[in-house]
Amino acid sequence: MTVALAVDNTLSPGHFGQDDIDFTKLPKSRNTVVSLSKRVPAWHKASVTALYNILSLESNWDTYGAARINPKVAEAVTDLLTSIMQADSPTPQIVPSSNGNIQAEWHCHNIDLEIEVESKISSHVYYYDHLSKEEWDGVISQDLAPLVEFINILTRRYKQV
Amino acid sequence: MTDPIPSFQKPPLNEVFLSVQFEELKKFDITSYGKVWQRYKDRFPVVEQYMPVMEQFEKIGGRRSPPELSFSMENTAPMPRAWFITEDSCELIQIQPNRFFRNWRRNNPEETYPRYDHIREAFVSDFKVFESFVTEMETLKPNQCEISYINHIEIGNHKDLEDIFIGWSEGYDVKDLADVEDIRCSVRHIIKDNNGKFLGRLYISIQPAFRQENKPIYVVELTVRGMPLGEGAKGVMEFMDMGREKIVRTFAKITKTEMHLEWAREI
Repeated sequence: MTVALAVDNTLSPGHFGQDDIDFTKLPKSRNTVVSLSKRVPAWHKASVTALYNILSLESNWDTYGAARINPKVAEAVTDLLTSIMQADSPTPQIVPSSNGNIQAEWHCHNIDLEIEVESKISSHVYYYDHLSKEEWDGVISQDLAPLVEFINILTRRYKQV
Repeated sequence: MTDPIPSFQKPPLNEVFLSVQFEELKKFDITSYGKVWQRYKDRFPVVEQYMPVMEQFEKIGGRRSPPELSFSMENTAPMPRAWFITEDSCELIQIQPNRFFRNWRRNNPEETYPRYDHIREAFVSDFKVFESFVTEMETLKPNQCEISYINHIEIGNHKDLEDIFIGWSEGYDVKDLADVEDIRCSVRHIIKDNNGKFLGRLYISIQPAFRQENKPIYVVELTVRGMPLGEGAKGVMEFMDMGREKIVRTFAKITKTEMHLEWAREI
């Protein structure tokens, strides 16, 4: 997969700015479009495919009147997974919900982890570790640390197999 | 903090903006820009348009997203960011379907900084106008706030950053090997409340630039960004007030006392 990334090294977006101010130039490699073609984790490719298929669903996809999935929710899923997953984390199952949300879930290695993504700032998480009996059920907003820890545990067990 | 917020009679401020991000408005379409402008056009007669700014969320505890793995899914052209500008080009409102900005900038050196209270009042009042338009169609749900102060500080030579900034030292001495031409740096800080709950971040950026006639300056930008501190407009303004205090106290701490004399520090 090749992704283009534009890098802006001047003021943050939203500034009025001044026409008569010249910023000193950085070397060209820092302020031009950078095209990247790096190895992408297996979970990422599988997740993107699953999201693409979900976004292709027509309304009433569940025969009970479910709406089409909003692309913004799919973006929120990729944002979240990119923030919490390691390169060699196991691939989640990604499924649509009838309420318009998207769920990423793992049921493996004695762990149940379900993340129902509503937006970029709100996901409902359920976690249960069958070995330690630890259970967690709540909403993740700005602080991703609990989710990162759950993924770390899952990834460790996945790699031990 | 109980000691008063530092204040300067002649701060080197060049621009201040307050901004609120909200869930994308589903019913805000291309015709909405003109309808909204009708409510501002007497004071903001000049209109321009730009590409929208991307959504931003301050989060903690996750891995920093490697840029090559982020993408967006769009099947239509992005809605623009409209600029509504005053005749004197000092004040600005920016609108896009998920963001509202209110900017002030200094357009000539003789102009006085109108002070935070004035800019705050302008934001509250102008955002209320926008909100009243939106709420005829749907609910506006803020999810991030941002406040930014941009200072233009004159300097004799870009290599003399230690004259302004306590974080740079003349101890950096490699002139026998190569001359320093200019310096740029950035610092991120985490902001938490008294219970340790994450509130957002303070960003500091110091960049070299030139005014007309090649006069060297440093652009020192301080920005605080995070979630509103409560519901509705009250939560937004509580964040702005907190952010402003963080910015002004930090600016006073990271700049040299010799510069404070030049800027006529009052408190």
